Amino acid sequence: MSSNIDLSGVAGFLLKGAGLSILIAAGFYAGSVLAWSESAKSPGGDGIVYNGIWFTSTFAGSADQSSELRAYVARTGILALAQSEVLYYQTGLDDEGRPLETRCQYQVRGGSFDSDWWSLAVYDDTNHYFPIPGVPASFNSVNVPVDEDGRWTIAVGTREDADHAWVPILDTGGFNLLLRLYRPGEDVRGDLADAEMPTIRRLSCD
Amino acid sequence: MRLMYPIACLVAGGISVFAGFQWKTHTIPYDIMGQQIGRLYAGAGGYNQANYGMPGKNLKLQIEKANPEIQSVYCAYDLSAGPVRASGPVWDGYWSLSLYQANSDNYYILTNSETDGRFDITILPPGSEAESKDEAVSPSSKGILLIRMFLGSADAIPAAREAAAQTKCELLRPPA
Repeated sequence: MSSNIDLSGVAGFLLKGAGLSILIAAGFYAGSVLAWSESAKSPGGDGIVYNGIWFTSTFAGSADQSSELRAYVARTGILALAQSEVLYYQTGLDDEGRPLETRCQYQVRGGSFDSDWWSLAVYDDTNHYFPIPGVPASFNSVNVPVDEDGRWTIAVGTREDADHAWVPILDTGGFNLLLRLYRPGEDVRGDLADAEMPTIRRLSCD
Repeated sequence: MRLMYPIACLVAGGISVFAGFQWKTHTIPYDIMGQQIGRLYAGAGGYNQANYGMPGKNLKLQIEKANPEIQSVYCAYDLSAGPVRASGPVWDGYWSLSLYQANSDNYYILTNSETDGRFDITILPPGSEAESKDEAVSPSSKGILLIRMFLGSADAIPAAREAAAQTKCELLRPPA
């Protein structure tokens, strides 16, 4: 008796059709999964501008975005304001290009920016504040202590830094920083890639 | 002839992966905005109601990457029953009002420099025509209104929360 499946005739046609339908459905699903995975990565192109370890989107919130950029902004910075109101610089890396890890202690250093106000906030892997009641999740241009040169240092880590402003975090994996420049001036808006950004130095890791 | 079916499978598989990718990329902003609108709806107890949180507190169930320096007032609006009106005081400092449609696009913004201490705008359903700068036509029937007030320090929180409490978001013509 032959062991081959006979794909001729009506039964064969139906079998082929079913196989093709399953393949199409599986392919569509695979494409969807791939899209979700890719949407968390910067799509690059003209919409994303890199400034060292920091990056910003020139089209966040705008109706002129591509589908890929809109999906990326939706995943990483929903409800963003237009560039004329706020510039958003983000990073999940330290100055050496290593991912920011909650088991490590960091110092973030910077100066003034060409904007009316600014704030630097720390988020966990779910893009929310670390759930630590009664402590700051950020500092801003009004409340950050500055030295005689107008420079500031913000410590980020699980251990308190008595000498500097400190944003405490929990050891839950990774974290990211978001610098907001409110009512940015023409100097920074015209030079997104080269405007001076804060430095992020890793001090130690447990 | 024997190769037609495998070739057809290959082509169909490639096209379906591409189609799935494009479709999902397009729908991601709608899905995420839908989730945000749902959270804000739950937080406010319904559509077309202004609500606000405590700056710096964990808004885990509400807005992602919320700014701790910002006193936010938000309203998940639904225009299916007609235009929605939002009004209230304008904060003395950085203040902005933004409207976001269902795909997350920011289609309208009002800043404190454009007001005289108070704001009063009307959000119109899709297809309407705005007759003044205080009217905004939403491209979608649901969306989010978000007001931001920048706080330099914790001392400013009480006054900002008072301004937030006086902000209204409601149907222009409530049902009889």
